Formats: sequence, structure tokens, C-alpha cells
Amino acid sequence: MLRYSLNRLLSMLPLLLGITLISFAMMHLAPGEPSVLGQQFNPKVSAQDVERLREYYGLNEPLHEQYWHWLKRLVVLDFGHSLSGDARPVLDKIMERLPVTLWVNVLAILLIMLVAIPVGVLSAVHRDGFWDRSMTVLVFIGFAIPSFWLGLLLMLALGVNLDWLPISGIHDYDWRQMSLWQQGIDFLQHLLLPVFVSAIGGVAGMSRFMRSGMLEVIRADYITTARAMGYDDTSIHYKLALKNAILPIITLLGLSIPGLIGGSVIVEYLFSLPGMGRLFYEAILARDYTVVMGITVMGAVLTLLGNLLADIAYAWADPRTRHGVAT
Amino acid sequence: MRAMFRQQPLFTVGLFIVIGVIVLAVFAPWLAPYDPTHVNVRTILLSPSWAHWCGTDTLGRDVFSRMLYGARVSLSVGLVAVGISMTMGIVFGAVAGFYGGRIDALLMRATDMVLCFPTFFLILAVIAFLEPSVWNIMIVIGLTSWMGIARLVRAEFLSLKQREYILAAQSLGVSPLRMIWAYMLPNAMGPILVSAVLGVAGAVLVESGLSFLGLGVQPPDPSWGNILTDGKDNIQIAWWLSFYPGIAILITVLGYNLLGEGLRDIFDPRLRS
Repeated sequence: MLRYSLNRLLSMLPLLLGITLISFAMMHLAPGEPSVLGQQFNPKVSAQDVERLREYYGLNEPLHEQYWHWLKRLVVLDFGHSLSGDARPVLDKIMERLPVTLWVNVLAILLIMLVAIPVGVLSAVHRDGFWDRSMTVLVFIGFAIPSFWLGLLLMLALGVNLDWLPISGIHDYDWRQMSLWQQGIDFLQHLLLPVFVSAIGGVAGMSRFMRSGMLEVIRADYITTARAMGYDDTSIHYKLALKNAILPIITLLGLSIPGLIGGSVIVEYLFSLPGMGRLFYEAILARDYTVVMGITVMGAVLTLLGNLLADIAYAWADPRTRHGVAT
Repeated sequence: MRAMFRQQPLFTVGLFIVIGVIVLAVFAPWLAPYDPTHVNVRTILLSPSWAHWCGTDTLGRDVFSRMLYGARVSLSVGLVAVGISMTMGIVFGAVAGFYGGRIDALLMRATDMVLCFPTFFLILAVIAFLEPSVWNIMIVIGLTSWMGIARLVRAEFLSLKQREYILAAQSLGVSPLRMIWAYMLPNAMGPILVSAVLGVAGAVLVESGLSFLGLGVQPPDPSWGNILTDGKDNIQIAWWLSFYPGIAILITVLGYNLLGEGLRDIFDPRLRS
């Protein structure tokens, strides 16, 4: 198991290197250099000053050397400093925003699994029945619904008209006066709508996938054998078939991570959550290139880590993979 | 024809929605009751009525007219973006699948690398470096969504390569380009068309998301996404600004998804469950 995990980890290194290459290329394909941008029409800035700035940022070196220096700093997690007024290290800025994003996405993944697996299994077991048909309609709507629009409608209904849930931020105004328990409840109340909105697309996709996976397993030979041996439907469906149908879900969850992280920009913007997605949005408006690049690299690294975790979880759940037996 | 419609309800409903939206978009200038960019201080934030079916926005513009013109933006972004991603995906996938070996390995590793990035981050990062405009959005969405098609075309080509008629053509000395273009691509067209149609749905969603963030179509040009931004800011007083554009996005995306799924069933009856 450990050897398998280490192997997977090593095989991610080339991908990681590729990610840094693409990010670096993107940064340098951008028109204008950050140090020179906004200075060229400034009469107080002479050509020598611009040259000094370029030297300071290392922009006068050949590209491959610049990449090498950038990579060396990246390895020790030095993403440089923000170009905005506070000039703080990019890593600090990301790290203080990351927990909210992780909370929302981890809870969203949990919600997806909690809803999609039973929905998909029930649809497959009662195939073409009333439940299956209504779920199919809902799945199509779930695919097509713009998450931010659903979020707006829920804010309008639950937050504004009924006043049941808070519609922005992660804390109430007086959260510092609350007990720890109340703070937790308050936090969850604030996250309820964002988590639901992030999860909706995943729930639709995953339940569809679970349904077809389950249908495939039910057709397998060993299920027919079990049926011939006289097992009743309930134990066939929920003891034998479910275990095998659930396996591919692990991989799919890993694959859905980039979508969730990317979607956090819109969700955090909509609900004014102080997360990484919101920081990304603010950095784009402020043309804060170092922060934009830092978060882009971070998003890709999180995706890689998610895929790694999914692979390891799969190997743990299915011994065939880690012993290299073809499935 | 009628028999096919009855057998393929998904496809039929999808087709009608898609054609309907295209007609509305094309004839928007004749159908729109008002000028979509005409500012009128006397009609600010009116709720829906017979005069203004979907109400008016914060500048007194008619929301229904803006939505008709918004359909043009959404559809053209969807179609052009998918055109770009199709071209890239087909070229990459065809070359990788046809030549195999090292070229295949190299192209597929590159595809894996791009797939590591959350697509929406990639799009936003590029938009940050360029200026948000309709053209840039089309190009950026196209350039960040070719990976799925590339993998699909590659898989199709790998399996087609084993067919006898391809081996026969090869032994007759047909040139590689002609082989790809005239012998293999037509046989892979079914799945490609399906993912192109589904791709339009995805691109419409991404465009509306970008415009909602204010990083897509720039006002005063109307887009379903940027009407919703107005809706967010006035959510307590003007529900219609949030409601109608979302319905338009939902129906359009639903239409393309149904059409795509319907086409999949028609091309590959084995998958029909």
C-alpha cells in the first residue's frame, strides 16, 4: 500500500513540472511586464529607472533562466509578493483564505456522496419506474441550471423573503460574543447555501453515473449466479452490487475537484465568502498578477492532490489495483 | 420523420428548444419591443407588466428586449468557442491517435497537464491578462475546453486503426492526411458531434458565469449573465432581474443537453438503456 502510494506520488512529479511550465508561459505571454506596466507614460520614470526595475524583478534575464529562478522559489513555496498596496507574500494571502474554500468544497463533496449514491442506486433498482423517471428529469435540470442563478433564487427565497438563512459572509456580526458551540452553528448556517449551490451540478452528474454503474453491475454474471443461488433482491442489490458499483465513484470524485475549485470563484463572489476564489476575483480586478498566478498554480496542485487521494482511496478499497492485476 | 420524433422524445424536445432560441436570437431586432440599450429614467425598475413583459432594469431598459439580444451573445459565444475547441481537439486527437507512439505520449501528457488546471481558473487568469470582450471570451473558452474532445477523437482513432478497411487503405499507400480526413474522421463524426452539441451548453454556462462576475460581456451590451449581476445587486427590490435571465439560460442549456443526449442515442443504440 505504501509502495503504491509512493509510486503514484512520484508519477505526479512530471505533471507538476508541466503545471509550472504552463503557468510560467501564461505569465509571460501576457502583454506588458508588471514592473513596467503603468510606468511607461509616467514622465518621472526615466528609461534607466525602468531598466533598474526590470533588473530588480529579474526581467532582463533570458526566459529559461527566469523560469529556473521562479521554479527554485516555487519549490520552497515562495510565490513572491502581492503587487497590491499591502505587498504581502502571496502565500500568506492564499493561506488565510484557503480554509473557507476547503470547508465549502469538502462539505460539498460529502453532500454529493450523501445524496447522489442513494438516488442513483434507487433509480437503477427501480429502473423506468416513477422514481427513476422523476429523478432523470431532475438530473437534466440540475445539469442545466446555472449555479449562481440557483444561488440567487435561494438567497431571495430563504434569505430575503423568509429570513431563515444569512445570505453573505461566514459569521454573524456578533459572533465573537457567542459560545464556541453557537459559533459552529452560525458558521454552518452561513455555509449551508454555498455548499448546496456548489454541490448541485455534482449531485446531478454523480447520481447519473451511479445509476449507470449500478445497472452495469446488476447485469454482471456473478449477480446472475447469486440470483440463481436464491439470494433475495435486497441482499443482491445492497450487499453485492452496491460495493462494486460504488468503486468508480471514488475516481469520479477526484475528477470533479477542478470543477468544484473553479466554481468557488462564483460561489464565493455570490455569497461574499472570504475564500480563495474571492481572492482570485479581487486579484483579477486589481491586476495583481503574482496573486493570480499563485492561485492558478495552487488550484492545479490541489487538483493533483485530490486525484492522488482518490487513487490511493481506490487502491485501498480495491486490492486488485495496487497489486497490478488488470480489472 | 414523425416516427423518429415519437421514438426520440429527448432529441425532439431538444431540437425544438434549440431551433426556437436560434430563431429568437436571429430575429431579435424585429422581435424586441424596445431598444435594448435605450436608457429611460422614467421607467426605472418597473415590475413585469403588459408594457414590459420581464420588467425594466436600474437604467429603465426593457429586460425582455435585453434578453433577446443577450441570446445572440450567448449563442455566438457558444458556437464560436465550440468551433475553436473542436478544431483543436480534432487535430490533437487525430494526430495522437493516428501516429501513436511517442507523438501520442507527448500530446496526451500535454493534455493531462492542461486538465490539472481548474478550467474556470485558467479562463479567468487569461481574461485577467487580456481585456474582457466578446471575442476574447470566445477564444479563451475555446482554448480551454479542447481536452475532452482530443481524448475522445484519439480513442476513436485508436480503435478505427485496427479496422480492416484502414489496413487495406494503408497497404494501398493512401497518404496520412487523406487517411485521417477522408477515411477515419467521417467514421468518428458521431461522438464528435454529440460532444460538440454538449459543448455549446457548457460554453453558454461559462459565458453567463463570466458575465455575471463582470468579466464577460461588458455593459451596455446585454448578456444573460450581466443582467443577473444587476439582479444580485437589487435582489431585495427587483426579483424579476434575477428570475427571467436565469430561466433563459436554463432552457437553452437544457435544450442543447437534450439534443446532445438524443443524438448519442441515435448514433449509438447500444447505449440506450
